[in-house]
Amino acid sequence: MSPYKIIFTGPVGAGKSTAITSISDIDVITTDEQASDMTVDRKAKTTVAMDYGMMKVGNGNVIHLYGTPGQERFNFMWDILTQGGIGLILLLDNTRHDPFKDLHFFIESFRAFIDANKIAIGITQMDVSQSPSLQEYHSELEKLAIKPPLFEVDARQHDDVAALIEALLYSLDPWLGD
Amino acid sequence: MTKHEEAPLHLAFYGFNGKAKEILRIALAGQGKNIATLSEEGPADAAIFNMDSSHMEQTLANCLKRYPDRPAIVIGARDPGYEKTIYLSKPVRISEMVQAINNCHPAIAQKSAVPASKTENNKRLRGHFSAHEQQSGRTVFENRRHAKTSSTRASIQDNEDHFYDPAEFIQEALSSALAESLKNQTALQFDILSGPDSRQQITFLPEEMTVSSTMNDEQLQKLCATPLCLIQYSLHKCKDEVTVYMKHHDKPSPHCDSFDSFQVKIALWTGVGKVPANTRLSASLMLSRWPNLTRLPLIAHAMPITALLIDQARPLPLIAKTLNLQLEDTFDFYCAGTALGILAKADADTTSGKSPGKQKKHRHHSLFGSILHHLRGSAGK
Repeated sequence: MSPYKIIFTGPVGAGKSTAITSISDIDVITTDEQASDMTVDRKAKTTVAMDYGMMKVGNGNVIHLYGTPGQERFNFMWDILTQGGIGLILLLDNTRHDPFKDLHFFIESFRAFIDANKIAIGITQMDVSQSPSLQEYHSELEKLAIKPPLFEVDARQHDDVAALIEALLYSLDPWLGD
Repeated sequence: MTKHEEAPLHLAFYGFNGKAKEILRIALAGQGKNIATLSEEGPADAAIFNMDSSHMEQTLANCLKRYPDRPAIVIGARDPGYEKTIYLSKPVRISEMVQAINNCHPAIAQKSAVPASKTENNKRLRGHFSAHEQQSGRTVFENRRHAKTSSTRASIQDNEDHFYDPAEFIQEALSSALAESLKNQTALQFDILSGPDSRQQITFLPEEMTVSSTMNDEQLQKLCATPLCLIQYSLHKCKDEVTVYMKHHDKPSPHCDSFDSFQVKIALWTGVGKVPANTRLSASLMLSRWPNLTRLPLIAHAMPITALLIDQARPLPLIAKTLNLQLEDTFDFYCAGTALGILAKADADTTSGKSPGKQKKHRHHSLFGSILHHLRGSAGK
């Protein structure tokens, strides 16, 4: 089996499982459990191990799609999940109390992987909360010295998730052509 | 004055409403003995500006920059004081207008051979032509044209097909109003008359960061392509943004866009594959951030160009060369990026002939291509 994979990460409720479902060619394998901690305020069930989906891209190649658990106490899994990854998709929920804190936390947590590969960031729930704005996210990212693709997305929409992955790939290789 | 044997000059006109335009047309054909015709489209030999119309200072400045060799006649209550223009104070007599046009028409100027200092209008001539050019008239004009057409266009900057003048379209007025609305946090409304029975409204709502319009995309696209001289519009502040918003949304099919999306639409639909006249193609460009591509109209080649520019400043020709595109393929992105305010000239210029450098294709280049193909093929599944 080819080792190519794209990793989806982000805080609880950001839409990682939904995003993978939007583009997976197989039924997504999820490990949702009843939320038992502060997560319960945001969603009834949450991913405790990982999500798994797959894109069959032809020539026998498959791209594995892994979603990390959102809760920080599972972060011991993150290093394992990112091994051999093509790139990282970070989803952030704009309705959370402090999205910038999430942004900094995940960028710093995956810093080594991001430096070696690339990241694309999707902001979800912007239709519910327009603050912070994308411009403000860009300003925050400047402090982190990166200029990644940053889009408003609806994780349920195939085209939005596809655009994030496309941007990730073009960041890795601008010569892909159109 | 005898009837002119020369072909009439083509006059571009700015800031004239329908009635004023018709009067001007009749005057030029009658008392002016067809000295000039008003040019609705295509290249013009000279231009005439009604400075008492809105936004004309900016329009005139842009036109002078865009067409430095084109004679410009400005009429108005006050002399705006621009160099290289012929000023006529209002009310303008037709004879004065004809004389001013004569001064723009080298062949006629040569025939009439009136010393520049002996006519009132020539006193007002502030150096559009040097004394030598005024004396030699057509020769200079023709030489210029000949030089332009016969010489090899070594520089891409010479290719006029690449450029358009934003001041000749409503784009500039809309963009200015949007910026003003945002800056002052005030709702502004455009009332637009773009044809018989075609009264439309565009309202900028800074609190919502949206543009509400009575026009659908097709109508807006048509408006963007219409020369400004054929459009009447007025701009006013809305006292109560909420009321305006509600009023618009009570109507069937209100059309809403985010500020960014609206800016990109009018930039693309006005430019239609060209770049603004003041664009220096050899200038290196830098991109401050990725545009929000999931919520903007489709911009050709946006992903690869953005990915390339976000890392390193480059001029458009180099981008085209690096990505194996035609230069014109980069123009939509330029217009959109400029409209969004994320594309700017870099500090140092590079020449268009600079080597694109070695392409560092990713080791999974072909796999990535397959993923792209897959994602696009499965769109909307």
